[in-house]
Amino acid sequence: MAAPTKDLAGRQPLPPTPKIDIPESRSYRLKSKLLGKPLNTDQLESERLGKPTALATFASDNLSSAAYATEEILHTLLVVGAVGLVAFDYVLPITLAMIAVLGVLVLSYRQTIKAYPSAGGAYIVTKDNLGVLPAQVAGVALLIGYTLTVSVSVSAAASALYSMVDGAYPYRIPIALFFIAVIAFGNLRGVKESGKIFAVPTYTFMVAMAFMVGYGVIKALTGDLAEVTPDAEQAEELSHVGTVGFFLILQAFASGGAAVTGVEAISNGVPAFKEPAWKNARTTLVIMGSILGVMFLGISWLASQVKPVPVEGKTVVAQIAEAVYGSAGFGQVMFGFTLIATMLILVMAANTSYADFPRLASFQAEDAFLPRQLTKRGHRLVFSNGIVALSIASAALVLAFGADVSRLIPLYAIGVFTSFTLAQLGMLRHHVRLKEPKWRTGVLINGTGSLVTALVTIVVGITQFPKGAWMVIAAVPILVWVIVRLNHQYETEREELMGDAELAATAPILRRHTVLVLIDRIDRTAARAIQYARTLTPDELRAVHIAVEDQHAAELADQWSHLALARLPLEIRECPDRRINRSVLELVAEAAADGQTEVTILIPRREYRSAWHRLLHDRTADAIAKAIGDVPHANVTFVPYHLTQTSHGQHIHKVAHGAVSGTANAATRKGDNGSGGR
Amino acid sequence: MARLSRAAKLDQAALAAETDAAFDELGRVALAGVIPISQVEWREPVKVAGRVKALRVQPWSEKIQSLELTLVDGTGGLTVVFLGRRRLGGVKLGARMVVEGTVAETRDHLALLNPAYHLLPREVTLPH
Repeated sequence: MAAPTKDLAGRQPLPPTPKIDIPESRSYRLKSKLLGKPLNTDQLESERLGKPTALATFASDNLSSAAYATEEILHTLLVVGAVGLVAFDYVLPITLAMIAVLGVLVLSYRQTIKAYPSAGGAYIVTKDNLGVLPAQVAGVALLIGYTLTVSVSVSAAASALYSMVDGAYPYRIPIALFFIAVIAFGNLRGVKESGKIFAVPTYTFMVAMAFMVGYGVIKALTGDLAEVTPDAEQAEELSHVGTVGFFLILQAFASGGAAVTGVEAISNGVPAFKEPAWKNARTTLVIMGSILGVMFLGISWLASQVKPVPVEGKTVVAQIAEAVYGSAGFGQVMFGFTLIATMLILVMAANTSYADFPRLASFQAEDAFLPRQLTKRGHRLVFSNGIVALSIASAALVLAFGADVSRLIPLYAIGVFTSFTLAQLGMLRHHVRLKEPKWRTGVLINGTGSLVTALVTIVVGITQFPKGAWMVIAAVPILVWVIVRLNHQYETEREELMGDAELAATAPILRRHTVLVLIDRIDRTAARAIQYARTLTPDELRAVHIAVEDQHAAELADQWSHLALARLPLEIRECPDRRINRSVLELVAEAAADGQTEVTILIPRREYRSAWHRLLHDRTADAIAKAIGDVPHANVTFVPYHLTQTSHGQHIHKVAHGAVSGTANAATRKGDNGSGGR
Repeated sequence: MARLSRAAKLDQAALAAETDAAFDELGRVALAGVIPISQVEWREPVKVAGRVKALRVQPWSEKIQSLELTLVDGTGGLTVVFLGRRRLGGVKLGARMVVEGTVAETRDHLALLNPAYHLLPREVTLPH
């Protein structure tokens, strides 16, 4: 309340933040147009989902497996095993066995949800209980699993499409890639985990399947359900007569293993549930398991009745739907409805991976086991790098395997079951370690779970090994080794950077500061650098020219001496071998030789707006900066000079004072950690 | 023909030997008493030889400037200052020269101010 003193009279408050007139780069504008306006960090929100929406959100991966699991069992028995008609007797028992595994998994994951309500998932559980290295195995297995989920789902979605549209079969790869592109685009734009988008396809699929199975059962009971009329190719497959060996059953079982993938999705997303989160999540998990069980069983039962043979161009579900609905009027509509629903849920299933993969990758990257870039949220607050990585990997798989679900499936189950097993073992350890109330029940459940999943893993590993599982079995250890190396690198860096950081920050500074301005010719970029250097008021200031051409150097020296530039000496240094980097390095080493001097090299640098300009000039400045980075107490500052181009193709210069240069001068590289030489 | 050419060759060889001898003699005279740059001490009269590694024009005002150069031999480098000069004939990057004077200083570095100097031909082998 005191009256302003004389000193402060006439003072102004801080001016409003000046508008910095830096045009955004073309790529950024394109990105903003494509992906929408950038989101602020505080717009990061987590929606809480009720049980019905949560079911739709998390179940699409799991439920969609029903669309191809039966087909894969049949494919193994009929095409690989070539056992003929007898195959249809085995579909139901194998399905039942798989459903039993599903039951065990649901019970086991109920435990996980309770124990890890904040952030579950195999990676966290394993890390918490079994240690960091097994967690990396689980993480890698899961990442592979998510990638394959995308590849398998979009391939299966493409197959649903070509079963419906005649003549689309040859285009299955572009179709599958198109699905990946659409999903990736949607996720980069930041499709919120909004239940509504998921709810439609998931529930439509449930309705479609319920209707198909129900109608099929009624028809079968009334004796109306006809078998599929085999075409030539199918008849050929059916004509085989073989015995079903134990190994073949295991193989078929392993192929059906794809059905239970995605069970873990709910345990990954418990925090997204409405309170009480873990209770709701458990209920939803049981509902999801039951629905999948019923659907899977229903489809397999129908398959055993109508005897569809998996062939190129028409999926088993499509054949069943055709057999159930017939091809007339209403049947045609229902057939289309079923396949569209199937296609949509499969695309949604692929989309689930786009939520899980980037998140898991960011967890692992936060633990310094994957590149740091994966922890960064991008333009629209999603883990853009993870999304891009997943898209590239899954697209590569689609291409490599020709969007063929049957060829992808052998790779699929092994990774998923490996992570299941590790997660179950982790839970077992968790119960034994903490001995929470009712821990004995937990031990029993997760013990059984780990035993069953381990058994399935082994079965899948052995039976699918020659068909492609070997790739995953080989890839996991290699990838784990790579990420452990990566981690070692990060740790070493961290140790060096953090070691005595406080001490280093408070250590006495060096006595002298020498500033050297690299000059090639006297032009505006040089003038800009000299002007900047003069504001630094160092102990010693020199302009330096590395003489690659004697003639040019002599001219420059002459010009300089006429200018008498503010008592700034120009040093001409010989460079007989024309290696400028080397000469600058020598110069810096000399200047810093007394161990008492901080040396700053100022490099005038022309900044180019367009790639075309960048192409026209070499990157000497960057190369020099890189070389000097290794000398202790040597620092590089780029002094930028912006070249702009008008629409008439003329170069105009910006007057080099002001905000542009002020901000860009911050581009300083520091060559040392400040604790002396090394 | 062959004889003549042999004679010519002999002549050439003799000339070369003579030139070498002349350079040797020149070097011996010019380089007598030269010490390695590393042994230079402040306020001592010294004679050193070396190669011009860097040239500096130090402007003091619009009119007054001095030419500084870094002279290096295998043992070290020394700043040599020619006050009031903008350039010296023959003194350029890579030139070899002998300088003689009393060691002073400039900007924290040991330096020879306005020393007596000799330029040496390339062929002369520097002692250090």
